[in-house]
Order: sequence, then structure tokens, then C-alpha cells
Amino acid sequence: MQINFEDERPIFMQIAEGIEDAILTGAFAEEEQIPSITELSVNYKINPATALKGISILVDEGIIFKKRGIGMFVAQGAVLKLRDKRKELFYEHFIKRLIEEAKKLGITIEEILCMVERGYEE
Amino acid sequence: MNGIEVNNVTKRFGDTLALNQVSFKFEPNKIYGLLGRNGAGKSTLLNIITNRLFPDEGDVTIEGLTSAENDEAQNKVYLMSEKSLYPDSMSCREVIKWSGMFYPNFDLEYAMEIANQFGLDINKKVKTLSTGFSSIFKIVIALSVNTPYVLFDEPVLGLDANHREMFYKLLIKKYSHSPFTAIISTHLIEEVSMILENVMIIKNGELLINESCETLLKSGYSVSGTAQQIDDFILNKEVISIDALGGLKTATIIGAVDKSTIPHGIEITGLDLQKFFIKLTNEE
Amino acid sequence: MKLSTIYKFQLAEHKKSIIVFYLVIIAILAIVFAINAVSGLISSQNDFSIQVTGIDLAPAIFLFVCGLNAFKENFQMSLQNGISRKSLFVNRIVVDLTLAVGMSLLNQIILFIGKSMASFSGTIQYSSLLEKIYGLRYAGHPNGLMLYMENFLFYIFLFAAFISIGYFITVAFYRMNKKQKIAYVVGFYILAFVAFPLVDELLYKLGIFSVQISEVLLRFLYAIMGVSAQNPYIAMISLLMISIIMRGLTWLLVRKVGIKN
Repeated sequence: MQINFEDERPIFMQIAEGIEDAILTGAFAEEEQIPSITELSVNYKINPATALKGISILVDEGIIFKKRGIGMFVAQGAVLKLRDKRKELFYEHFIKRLIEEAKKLGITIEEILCMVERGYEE
Repeated sequence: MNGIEVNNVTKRFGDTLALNQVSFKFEPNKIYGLLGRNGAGKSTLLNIITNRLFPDEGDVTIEGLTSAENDEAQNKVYLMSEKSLYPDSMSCREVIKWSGMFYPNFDLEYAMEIANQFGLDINKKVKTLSTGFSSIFKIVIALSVNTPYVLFDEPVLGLDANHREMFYKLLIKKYSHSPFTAIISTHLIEEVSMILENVMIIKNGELLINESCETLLKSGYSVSGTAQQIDDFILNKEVISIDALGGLKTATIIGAVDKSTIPHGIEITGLDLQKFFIKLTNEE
Repeated sequence: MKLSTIYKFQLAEHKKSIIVFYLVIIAILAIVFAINAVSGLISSQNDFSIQVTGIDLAPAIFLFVCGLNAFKENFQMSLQNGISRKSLFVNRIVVDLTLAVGMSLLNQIILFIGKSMASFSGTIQYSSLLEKIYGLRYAGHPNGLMLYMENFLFYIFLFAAFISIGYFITVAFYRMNKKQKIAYVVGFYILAFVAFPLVDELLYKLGIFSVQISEVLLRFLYAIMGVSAQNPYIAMISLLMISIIMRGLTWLLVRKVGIKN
């Protein structure tokens, strides 16, 4: 998980997304413990309040939960929740833009589908 | 009642107005950055808070207690300053011992541990320490003293990159485990900006900015692209700096960014706090 | 009673120099004793005598010098550790009283050793400063309890006064800038050793004053030190006045002093 200080997305967002990515790829398995606020903030040299803010977003979304006195864990079903959320974002970020660009260049739907198939083969 | 309150503090040195009606508050358990150019008044302010200087007007309270000439109030604050006020001929070990006596919550074990981590020989006399190790020694004490408010005036002066990182990590770890208020006064904005929760900028003895870091960083953005693209884009925008290299330009802009108006080929990055600071504090 | 850290700190600073000081004193006494013994061996008639007087004044000078060094480092240490000037000042007085009483006590022990040496060997004559100044009072009772008691009290006041003067001077100097320091030192020298003697002589020789100013000052000094009255208690009161005035002036200088660059 990388933090890019130059990125215009706020740090706490990057933390949240970084952990989401780790959960999606399986680096953090469901019901497994994730690094503490202290570990995260020391590691990336950021203010613990920022790390906490990022984690809180995930707690609110039910992706992470806190075990009193022990630490934070990946919730059961987190992967599914994240996939659904990301799918919608995927449409917003990639598909819409793709279609916009395709329209500009006059590419038809059939051509797009061919390209997608080509992409999956490569 | 909580926190350190600075109320309308004014301080003159001869004809120079070092601080002019400065008012603000340091809340408990936050990490503050006190930024300003050389001579802006940062050290003077810290010296007034810690009873080393008296203000000409105004006052400071620490958790409701007057800060001036008040042992109880001053026992809640610790200032590590550029100047070492410890007796030259004393060994670091002795200074640590006395610090433990002056500050009841001083953590002796922790002090030894981090002194070791930094590679500081505590048997050395204070005056024989190099600039770097002098800072390290002061850091060791500041991190071990466990007062609710700790002031760091240019903490990493003379420290190499490794030691600087060590300091930041120790600070964050300590703050995370047992929160306190840390006030870091520095010019090294880039390094420290990610740790800060609140930023205060002092210019010519006046408080220019007092914001959360997040708000500040959201207040602007940078765009990079070809000179032509950037020139077109920055029309009607508040630009605070432009860097040009060959045919490429980067502009720093104050204002909200509307992503839909960004043409292709232009890259957006976050607001560089240092550039923002330089622009704000330039004499113009 | 819990002693404050700033008291302990300021007191501890003197440890080393006090030890050295007393080693020197003991060495001096040992040398006197040795010379006496050797001379006694050489000359069979004991027709010589060794006079030892006023060793008990030495601590006063020592403490004056201690006072001269007692401010800067302690002030900086107090600032660094969140101690107010008020606490620093008050604890300083307590430290100085501790030193005055302690060294006065040790003075009595030394006096006793010295007088024992004297009575043991007929050729040594050992007397305290007080016996010299207030000779009449102690004549006939050179080893009396009253001598030791009044010695003890007298030196407490004397040492306290000397240390308060030294401390005042160093605080005054701390507050001065370089130019002022030079001005005061040179000015004092010229005033005390050049201008004053000149004016003193001149006014007397020209008949403007019937008596020399220095003579008047000397008489004044004798009066406040109880010499004319042969009463050391007058001296003690005067010394107390001096201490109080010095401490008062010192406080006026200390209360608003800021850290220097």
C-alpha cells in the first residue's frame, strides 16, 4: 500500500482505499487482523488522527470492525461488499469515460466489445 | 479551561515589533505546526509561553492558570529550544537525572531506550555534543518528559535523514499511544506537513493562518501540462506560483477544483504546503 | 519537609568547590603545625611564635566568589525546567543560609582545632577575627563558650551578607549589556581608586572639610560594626541590613529578567 503525498486525494482517503485494495487482493483476509493505527501512522509517517479517519470510514461501511483491547479486523463479507462498491465506481470512472472517448472517435459498440475480448486474451 | 491560550500578546525588542496582538489557542492532544520565516516571531512566542520572556501586552494561560511566573502552570509545558540551557559541564546522564526530579512524570527508562536508539552516549558532557547530537539529546528529554504540552523549536536541526525519520516515527508512536499536545516550530515544512493536524503560520509577528491541515490542503491544487495548456487553464484563476521547465509548466492554484473542467493531458496534484507557505510569507 | 528540586540543584553546584576549599584550609593548618614542630626541633629555646589570625575570614571571601557564580547557570536551568524566578530567588536565599550556617559551623570546628594546636604548643597563637576586632569583649576568655557562640552567630550574618553582595553583582552584570559592563567596571575603578582619594585629599588639604571623608567613612564603618562599642551584635544587625538591602535590590533586577540571546 502506497501513500502518495502529491496526490490530490486526501491522505485519509488513500489509507481507506489502500486497505480496501489489500482486502480485495486477499492480502488482508476476512476475520484477520489489520495493522493498528499506531503501526499505520508510524509506517507512513502521518498523523494518527488521519489514519483513524481513514479506518473510521471503513468501520462505518462495515468493512472493518474493532475488537476491544485487541485491534481491528476485516469483517466477514467485506470482500463482497467492496466488490459491489467498486463495481459501481468502475462504471463511473472507466466505462463512462470509455464511452465518451469512443463516441468522440466514432467507435461502435461492436468494435468496443471486440477490443474488450482482445484485451482479455492478451 | 483546557489548552494553552494566547491572548493578545504583543512583544517589542527596541524598535522591532516581534509579536503584534497575537491570539489563538492550542487544544489538548493535537499536533500543531508553527510555521514562519526566520525572525517571524515563532521563538519569541514559544519563549513567552514558557516564561522565558515577558510580553509587553497580553497574557498566556495554561489550562486556565496564568503562565507567567507560575510553577504549577510551567510544570505542564516543556520547551526544547535551539539554545541549550543545560549547564555545559554536566553530563547528559546527570541532566536526565535532574530532569526526572523536576518533572514527576519523566520516563527514565524510555529516555535511556531512545538515547540508545539514536546512538547517543549519555556519559558525554553537554558542551561536547555536536550540533546533531545536541538536538538528539534535547529530543530525548522532550519525548521523555511527559508533560501535556511539549514545544519543539526546530527539533531536527543538524540531524541526518535517518535520525530525522527516527524522530518523526518516535513522535507519532508516542502520540498514538498516549496523546499529548505537540507544537512543532520549523521551516522544514515538507517533511512535517503530513504529521501536523493543525497549521499556524506567523508572518511579521502576526498570525496569518490558523487552520486544520486538511482544510488548508483542500484550499488549492496544482496542475501540470504543456505551457499552452496551462496558460489557457489558469485564466481567471488565483495562481500562487508557476514553474516552467522547457515546454512544460506547473501552476499552483487556490480555489476548489472542478474535475470536469480539466482538459485531457493536464495532470492534477495536491496543494504543496511549502509552495503555499512561500507564497503567503513572501514580502510582497 | 520536602526540599524543592531547585534548592537541591543550586546547593549541589557548590559541593566540589567547598570540598576543595576545606582541603586547602586543613592543608594550611597542617603546614602551620608542621612548621611549628620543625622550628621547635631546630630552636631549643622556643623563642619564636607563629601567629595565626583570621583564617575564619576566608570562607567569607570564598562565599562572595560563590555568589558571583551563582546566577547564570542556575537561572538557565530553572527556565528550562519550568521554575519561576520567584522560586529560584527564594530557594537561592535558603541555599545561601544553608551555606552560611554550615560554613559557620565548620568555622567553629576549625577554630577549635586551631586553638587546640595553640594550647598544645606554646609557640602557636591562634585567634579568631572576632577576638581581634572585639578584643576587649573576649579578653580573658579566649576559649570561652561565649566566644564560640558569638563567633558562630557573627559568621552566619557575615557570610550571608558577603554571598548576597556577590549574587547581587552577578545578577546586575547579567542584566547589563557589554557597554554598560565596561562603563560600570571602569567607572567603579576610577571612582574608588582615583577620583575618591584625590577628592578626599584635596578637600581636606584645602581646608574645605575639617576632616577627611575617608576618616568619616572609617568611623562610620566602626560604628555600624560595633567596634567602638565592642559589641558584635551591632555588627550582626548591620550585616543583616546589608543582606536585606542586597536581596531586595537583587529581586528588583531578577523579577523581570528575560532570557538572553
